[in-house]
Amino acid sequence: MEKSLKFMVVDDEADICEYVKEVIEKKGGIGFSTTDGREALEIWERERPDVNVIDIHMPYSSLDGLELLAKIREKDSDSVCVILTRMDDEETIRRAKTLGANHYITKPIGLRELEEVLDNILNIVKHNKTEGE
Amino acid sequence: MARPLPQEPVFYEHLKKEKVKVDSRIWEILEHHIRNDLFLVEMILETSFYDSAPVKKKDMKMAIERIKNIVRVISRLKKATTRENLAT
Repeated sequence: MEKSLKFMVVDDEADICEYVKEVIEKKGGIGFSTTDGREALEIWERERPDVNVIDIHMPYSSLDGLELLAKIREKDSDSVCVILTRMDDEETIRRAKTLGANHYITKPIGLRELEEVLDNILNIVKHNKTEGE
Repeated sequence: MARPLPQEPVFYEHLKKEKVKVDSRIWEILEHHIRNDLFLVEMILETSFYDSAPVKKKDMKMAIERIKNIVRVISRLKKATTRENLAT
């Protein structure tokens, strides 16, 4: 993983946030995490992460995951947005994709599968960055 | 994995045939807790498994708490939805 690649993990469960961030950092990425949607937006404005891993259902957050995704997409269409959620109904998946989610992962997911998805995303991001240089 | 009940295939068949619907709030509670809790437990165990490293004590505690939470939620749901309780 490129050292310069930045990740943001947003999940209203702090333990999940930290664990996913740890998986990313182990691979060499720079991770940011938060349990709150509005704070996520502030981190996003400040850090401009290459990849955003976003939970949808965050009842204690000021913004839910789909609202956050929409706000990110209003300003940026390039960064990769990955939905990591327990919600597996077709309507939510459709809404997330319409709003601009690049990947949709349903919890629970095994560590290896999660790493595989992240590796694929990273390769694409790296490739796009190289192309843009 | 628990051994499937001998009647399990029949149960599924009957549930489908009788068009048994579960209140969406029950699914909401179950899925919220079970999927999030199991996700974390799976992450903790697989990290240890693939790294061939012992589970850290703090992670062990977290996994145990998450498993206990699943049991708590199921008991609470059962209590709230069984006929005996609904009658009172």
